[in-house]
Amino acid sequence: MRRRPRSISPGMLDSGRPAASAPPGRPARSSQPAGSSQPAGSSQPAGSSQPAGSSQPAGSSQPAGSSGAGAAFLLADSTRSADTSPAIAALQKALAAEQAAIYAYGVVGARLPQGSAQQAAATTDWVAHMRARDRLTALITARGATPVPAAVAYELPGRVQTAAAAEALAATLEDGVAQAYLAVVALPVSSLRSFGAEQVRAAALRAQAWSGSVQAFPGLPATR
Amino acid sequence: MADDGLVPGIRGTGPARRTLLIASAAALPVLLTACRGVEVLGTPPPPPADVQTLRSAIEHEAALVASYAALTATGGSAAPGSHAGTAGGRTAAVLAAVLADHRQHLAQLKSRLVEPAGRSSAAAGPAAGRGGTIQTIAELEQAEQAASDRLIAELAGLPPTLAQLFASIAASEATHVPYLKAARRGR
Repeated sequence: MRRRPRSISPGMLDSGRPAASAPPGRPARSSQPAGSSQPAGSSQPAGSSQPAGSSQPAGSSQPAGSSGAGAAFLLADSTRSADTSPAIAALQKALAAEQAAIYAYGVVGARLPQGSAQQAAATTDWVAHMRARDRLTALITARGATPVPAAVAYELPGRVQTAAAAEALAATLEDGVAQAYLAVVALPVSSLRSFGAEQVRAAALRAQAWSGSVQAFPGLPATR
Repeated sequence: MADDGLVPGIRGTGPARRTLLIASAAALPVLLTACRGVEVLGTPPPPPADVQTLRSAIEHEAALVASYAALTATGGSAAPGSHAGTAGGRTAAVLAAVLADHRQHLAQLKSRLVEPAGRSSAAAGPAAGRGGTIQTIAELEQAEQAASDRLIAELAGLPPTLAQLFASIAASEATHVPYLKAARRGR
């Protein structure tokens, strides 16, 4: 049965690409375990080797707007343990966002000039996402849950036929990743909260590098 | 919850428990006074730790706003490592954009704090006066990084939505560093 590609971002349905293929002129990359220290810029980011399965759009994290409404998490001084379902749910969302980013960076890298600094940056970012994916996988597994698998393919927000479109896609991806990690920040577990905040910051820095601009509230759509 | 003018609080963080605590703390001196006279009125309870954290964040954000405002007012820019007033439109535009971000940060942070009536703004605290000591873009970069690190270090114990705001602002301030650096280097 043919799987339908998952959407990278909510409401973005146009021009989904088929399951990621090797970028033009580049060999397909074998599955790269995150944390395996793939040297930045040494190869083409592909993201084509994710296991089949479902995935969550990157931008579907918990509400995090300035109004403070809608937060479904406990207060920070709660006595709940780290293994409660909100923690698993938030980590799974972040994992799904990372999986989508890993896939999409394959497309980004394929559309950037071969051997360029931009392509090297895409590789660096791709590796960073794989490392984060593995960290999330370990966190989820340690809590007795099964990490969500990645999809075979994802629908991209639009056609990515130029380097400029690829850079815009990378910035969009990072915004979604930042948003997903804000759900982790809302957890009442100090270590997870710090981890989530560091990842929000890392995603915002990558987004800034791709877009060349800054935003007041990365990951918080309601306050932009 | 603190609109009664007694104890500061944080807006939008699940008022039930805090409201009860504040109401209890506020009612106690009144009850004692009624029974034993005004001389037994004690000092108000100290604000909760998260309120103090929020006040501190507001002070530091106000200091950053003051720094950017001062630099933009004196010519809008600083050449690499130099004092303000020597750079061009690109740097001025960057400073203005970052200043706009900080003003939004400050507004959002202030919106979370409910101060008792008559209390002056938290921005009047000691950190607010530090803005004038920053005179170069390189110093701004350092201040931005320090601000980002400080916000992340203060996440523990905050209500969830306030923690999210802190994390987002920390991320924004971290992105100001390369943004400023690029402007300083003319890129």
